Amino acid sequence: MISQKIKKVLAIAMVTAMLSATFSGCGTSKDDSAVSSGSASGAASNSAAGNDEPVDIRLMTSWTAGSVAYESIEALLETYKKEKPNVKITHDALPSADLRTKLTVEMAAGTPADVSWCILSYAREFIKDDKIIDWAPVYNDPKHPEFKQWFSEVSLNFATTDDGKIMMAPQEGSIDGLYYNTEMFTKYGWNPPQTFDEFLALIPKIKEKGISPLVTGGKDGRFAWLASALLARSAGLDNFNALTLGDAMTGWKDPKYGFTDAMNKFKQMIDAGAYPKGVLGMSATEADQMFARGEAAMYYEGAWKPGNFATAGGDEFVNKIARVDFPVFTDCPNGDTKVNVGGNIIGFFVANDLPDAKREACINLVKNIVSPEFNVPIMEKGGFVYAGNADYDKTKVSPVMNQLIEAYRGATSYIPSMDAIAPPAVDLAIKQTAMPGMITGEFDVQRAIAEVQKAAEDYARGK
Amino acid sequence: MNITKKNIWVILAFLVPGSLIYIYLVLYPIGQSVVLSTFKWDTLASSRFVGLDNYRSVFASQLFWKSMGNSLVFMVSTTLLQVIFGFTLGYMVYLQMRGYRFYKVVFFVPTVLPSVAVGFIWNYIYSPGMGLLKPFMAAIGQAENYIPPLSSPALALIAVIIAQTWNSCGVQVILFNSGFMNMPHEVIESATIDGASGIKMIYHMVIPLSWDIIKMVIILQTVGALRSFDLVYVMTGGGPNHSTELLPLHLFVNSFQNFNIGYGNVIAIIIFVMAMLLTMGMKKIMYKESIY
Repeated sequence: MISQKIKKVLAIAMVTAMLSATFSGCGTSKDDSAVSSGSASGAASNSAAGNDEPVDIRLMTSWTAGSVAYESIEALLETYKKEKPNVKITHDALPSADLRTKLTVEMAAGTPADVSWCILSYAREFIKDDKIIDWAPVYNDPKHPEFKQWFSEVSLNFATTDDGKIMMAPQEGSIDGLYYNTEMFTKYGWNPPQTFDEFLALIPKIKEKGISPLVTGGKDGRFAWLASALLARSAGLDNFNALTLGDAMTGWKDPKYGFTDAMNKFKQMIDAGAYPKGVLGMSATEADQMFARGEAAMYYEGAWKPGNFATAGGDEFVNKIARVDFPVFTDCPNGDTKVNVGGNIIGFFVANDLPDAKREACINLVKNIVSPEFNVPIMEKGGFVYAGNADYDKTKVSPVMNQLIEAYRGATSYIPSMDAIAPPAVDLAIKQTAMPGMITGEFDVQRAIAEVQKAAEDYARGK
Repeated sequence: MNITKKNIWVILAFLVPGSLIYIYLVLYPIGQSVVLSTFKWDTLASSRFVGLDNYRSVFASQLFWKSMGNSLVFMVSTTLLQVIFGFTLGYMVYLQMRGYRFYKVVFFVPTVLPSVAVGFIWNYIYSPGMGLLKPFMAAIGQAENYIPPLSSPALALIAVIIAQTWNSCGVQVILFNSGFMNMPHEVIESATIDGASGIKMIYHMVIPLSWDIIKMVIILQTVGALRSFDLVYVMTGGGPNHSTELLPLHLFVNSFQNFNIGYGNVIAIIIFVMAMLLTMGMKKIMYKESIY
């Protein structure tokens, strides 16, 4: 009997202990978070009042280890740590595709990074919900005169919504290039193609030498820039904007908007054998290496590529590279022969609803990241083209990088790459379904267009 | 019975913590998923009730059916291959041939590697740019027959299945081996004395005696294959042209890249229902008595 009582008491004691552990666990966690957030906001307020209380900032960039920009951002953060010991910055560096996914998920969950690298099409979605700050008041604030000095009206307009909000602080400008190996072209007496017909005519000549004419990271779906170039050359700027920005969002199958012509041109490229066998199983890094080894003659993408080519083949290889604009379509009267893919499509946002002092610290951090002091050295090393106005030392820069910077600064008009302007669902339908489907031969032109049309209609129905 | 009634509060007190945790971590997310599957997100912050629209979209989507087909092929193939290889290699280890301890370790090594690492290893093997397969085929005079496996819709899924089998087979080897080690020695000895050997021994003695292990491996593999994600994501990202897109990857792309959370939740529910049906089916098989 006694033993039974003891057992009962012990049982109750154990259950009570378990329950208290469970609930106190929850309680502690809540308290911790309250303390933590209280301390962060407290710190922010104190900091605003002039005290150097700690401020934690989470920064996300696409500058991963090994890239030219990674070392620079790490050095900047190190300097920042010394100059502002109260500001603790955690840097998450992710490949751009993963970063976009993480951005979306964190935004939806309400836990975005305080400061992040971002592409225009994503920033456009975030600012609709006021998830990121509007930079217009910051630019007009006399405390921050630098932004207007560094960036032209054109640069700022690129990141401005219809209602006048500025989504991001511009940082990286870009321009497309059909890169070619000058040594190879000189050796075989080829000329870089100016028109699409010349491009098609060049393909068999290159293949005769056992070289792949064009290469890209098919496994990574690197078709967004090419899609934009094909569409702009086929249909021109107005039709491009109508399709991607919404006036004719569901007009992808309508020939007057030019996507049909664009996909027909892409089919001609595939049929001519522009891509090597297995391009869809090749990552961008593998494609870079193939280009660097002289197994491919041309490569089409944005202005960051020289940095990747340097990683793949060293400076010696980069010095052999030159660029030309994407070939023009002589048989497409509506096509724009001058427009370049690129522009100021990348910048940095600051999350909304931060305490004042933290917000100010984030703006200051962004100011450092988008400054000429930070960006020009990276540009000189071939990392990317800086979106702002700044002098640079041409002698430090490879010939192809000089070409890119000059082309960027001299371009009359731009269109963004498809992944920077089209709704993500449409962009994915183009670069992960339609174009790869045509390369594998599973889709003809009509089926490829139908896939994009369906994605656009689904997106429009959801709006 | 009386004791139970007297101690009803004690029993309840024991049940409550576990039940609460189960409700919060298991039942609530399932219910939440059902609710979310009836919403459509206009922006990141605003959503609206759309009833069964997401279900209609899913069942009308060709990509969904392609993913479903891929998942079924993946599930059946990886299960079959792992049972066959796991059984064979496990049996060879059981026979304790020369160097069996070494092979046991070798067979198990891929299992301890993270899926992401396995993905990179096989990517490297298959790569047309710098891989091992291309020079190997050239070395055996088959260079002209080389097709980069991950770039071909016909071969990519097979290539992923091979990688998955390589990655997971070690566990099956160990499981089968431990099952064989538990077979009653006297029965095996009697069978040997009666003249059973080779295929006859395997067919009439080893398979029946290890039937429980075979069932367990099939169940683990089938349900595991249904939620495979990481290896496929690293190796192909679902490509080329969705030919390796399994249901979890289809969910991921739609939920987190297209930001179609409602659609993604429908896929999650479908995976859940399939897993439940499979588990129930398997359970039925499990309840059947062993052959011996």
